[in-house]
Amino acid sequence: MAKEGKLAISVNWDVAKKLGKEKFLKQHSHLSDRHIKELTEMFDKKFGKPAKEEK
Amino acid sequence: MAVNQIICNVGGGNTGIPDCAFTMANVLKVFLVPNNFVLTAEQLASKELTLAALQAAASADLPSARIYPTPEIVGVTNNSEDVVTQTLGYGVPVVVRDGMYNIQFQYTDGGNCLSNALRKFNKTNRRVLFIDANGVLVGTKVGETIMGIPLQVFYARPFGFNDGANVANFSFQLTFSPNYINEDIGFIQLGLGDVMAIAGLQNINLKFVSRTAGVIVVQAVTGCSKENLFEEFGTELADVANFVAKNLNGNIITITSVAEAANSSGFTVTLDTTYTDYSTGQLLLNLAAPSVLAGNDVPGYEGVQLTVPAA
Repeated sequence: MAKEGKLAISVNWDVAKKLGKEKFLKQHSHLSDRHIKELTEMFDKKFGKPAKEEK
Repeated sequence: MAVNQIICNVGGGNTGIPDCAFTMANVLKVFLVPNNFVLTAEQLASKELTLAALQAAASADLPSARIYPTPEIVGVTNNSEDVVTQTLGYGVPVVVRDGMYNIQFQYTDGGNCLSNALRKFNKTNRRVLFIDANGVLVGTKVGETIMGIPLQVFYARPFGFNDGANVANFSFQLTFSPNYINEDIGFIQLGLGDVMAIAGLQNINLKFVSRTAGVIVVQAVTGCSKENLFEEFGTELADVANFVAKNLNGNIITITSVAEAANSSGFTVTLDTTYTDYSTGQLLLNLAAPSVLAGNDVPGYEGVQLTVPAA
């Protein structure tokens, strides 16, 4: 999977989609605020804003 | 061929001297190759194709299919057996058989670390290809192909001590039958610089930093020098495709993300803890196959599996 965004972080978007935005971000709560902001923007860009949780 | 018919070479061989003859020069490199490794007629059709085949095999994902180049050879000691003869009753010496080649090759690059890597081949069954000082690859000819020379013995010796006048001596010994590089010799001219540039893979050890549930932080350090690769390959390695996580049963655990962990000069690997094969117990973490790493601009490396402690 190609890296995206300004920080060196690479996401498995299939898993991210399965988890949904809330769980996905929660799973990354250990990362820095900059990473979380970046991940949020990446997620929104990928799946649209507001993101829909998938059950 | 008829029953009980033997093949006698009654004619010998013509002995005219050609304008251009091949004489093997001193060996500068040896490739340890699998028994079934073949340079096919298609691969031997040009230098470029042969080099490409060697380069691909030197970084093959499957270790058993890989060819392993040695460091540059800096000296040779010929301990070959003499021709074995028997002196008959009336004093006539007759040749029983050719003596076995037994050659010791010295190298200096790589030191103890590489020496220990070569010593792992001591009880394995491999063949060899030679590269001489003119860039000629020498093996044994099988039809229109070249295969490795079968060995009786490969033995990488324990290093010899530096005695104040001589450097530490790293060497390995090859023993093989003469026919493979005499009557059955197979060779092809390559560019010396090109073939000497074919290097073996280096190990990357994943060094454990921390784990909290599904979050594992590791450093990537080279196997020999323990150099942290974060500065050189931080951005390239921070890719979910570069890491493989498994439970102790060998089942793959999905990785959600991989991020640079600048504070620890490592990588934060976040696992999907909702995945059925995820476990809070010990896990196995490794890098992806060499071809995947090379595809992500980390060429020439292979990961060594890390056992991650339980959360």
